[in-house]
Amino acid sequence: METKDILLARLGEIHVARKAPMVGCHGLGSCIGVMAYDSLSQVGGVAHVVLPDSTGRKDLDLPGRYMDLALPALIDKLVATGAGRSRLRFVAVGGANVFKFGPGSPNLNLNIGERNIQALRTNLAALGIRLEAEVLGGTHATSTQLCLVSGQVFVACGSRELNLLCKVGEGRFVRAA
Amino acid sequence: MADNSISIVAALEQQEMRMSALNEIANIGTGHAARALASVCGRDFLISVPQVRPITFDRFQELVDNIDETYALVYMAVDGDFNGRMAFCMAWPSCQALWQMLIGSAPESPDDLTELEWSSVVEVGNIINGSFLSAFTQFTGLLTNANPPILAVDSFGSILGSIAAEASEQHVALFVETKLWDQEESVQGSFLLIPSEESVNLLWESLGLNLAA
Repeated sequence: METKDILLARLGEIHVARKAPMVGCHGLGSCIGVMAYDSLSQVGGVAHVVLPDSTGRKDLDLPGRYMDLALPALIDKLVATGAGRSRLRFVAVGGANVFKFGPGSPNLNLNIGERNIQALRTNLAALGIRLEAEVLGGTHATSTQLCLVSGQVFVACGSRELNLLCKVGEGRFVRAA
Repeated sequence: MADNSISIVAALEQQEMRMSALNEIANIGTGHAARALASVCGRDFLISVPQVRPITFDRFQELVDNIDETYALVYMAVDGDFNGRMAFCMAWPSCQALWQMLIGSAPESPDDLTELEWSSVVEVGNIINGSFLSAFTQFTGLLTNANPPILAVDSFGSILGSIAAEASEQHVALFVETKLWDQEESVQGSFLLIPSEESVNLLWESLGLNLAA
């Protein structure tokens, strides 16, 4: 997979840039990579979100770790870098369950991916935001990259190569599984 | 000033003793696991001296050079005096070699595993993790109870990220960098131990290493 000139967000990180380099997340399992892009200013960013909800948690040092904090933090950073808030378009990838083989036990929290997706939808709705494209759920890991010049989003699912998912700003809703 | 430097030295010394105790536990645990693997596969396994590496979840994905590399992880909840999570980790080629030994064939791609394929790896991982834990109990006197495991076969980064979320009550993992390998060096594996905070304190207590804490 091509990783040159790309700013990859690791667990809980948010990266925002203008024009270059590309931004993205590799190795999304139950985590969700939320990307936002303003095609006019060519400002875009990504948050590598690990958990649905920060309520009652103490480890709030990384703004991207929890969905409820990650979305406002991502938007603030984008606006501070020159994006127009109302022009931002959103794409989300991830929320899978990679632990899929075997009995497991009830004391494992194996529905985190699903809960992350729910939290994503709830928090986006509260902000009045609709996703322009999504690859959410399933049982395969994903990787994703956003090109800040073209607004193109690429996604790799499982052991497959990166493929073009959509061009942000075209206004066409894309959903892939 | 003098008092302060003495306490810093004491803390560092204790830190060193704790790490060497962890390495010793890992050594005995890996030895047990290798014997268990040998009896399942019908061939001998050698082990390297394990190196325990504590790592916080945020830096989890730094454990490997390439987070896109496919790994198989047999992951389980552990309860008892010492509780938390545990995993046995193998890179994809090792997992394929293990299948060759167990069932005489191996899948080409991790995307489509048969039940025989995944259940055999779950079972072997269960045995390996169980023997590691029994060695742990012998060394520390702390009871451990292994729960039924679950297997992920996917990019290592995605599995580690999922573990960071699943075990999010905890924040630190002990990565046991070791190698169990057979004569042909076809199967190599390592362990991940994720103890709860109170378990870590119990562990130091059981080893008499909690004095300066």
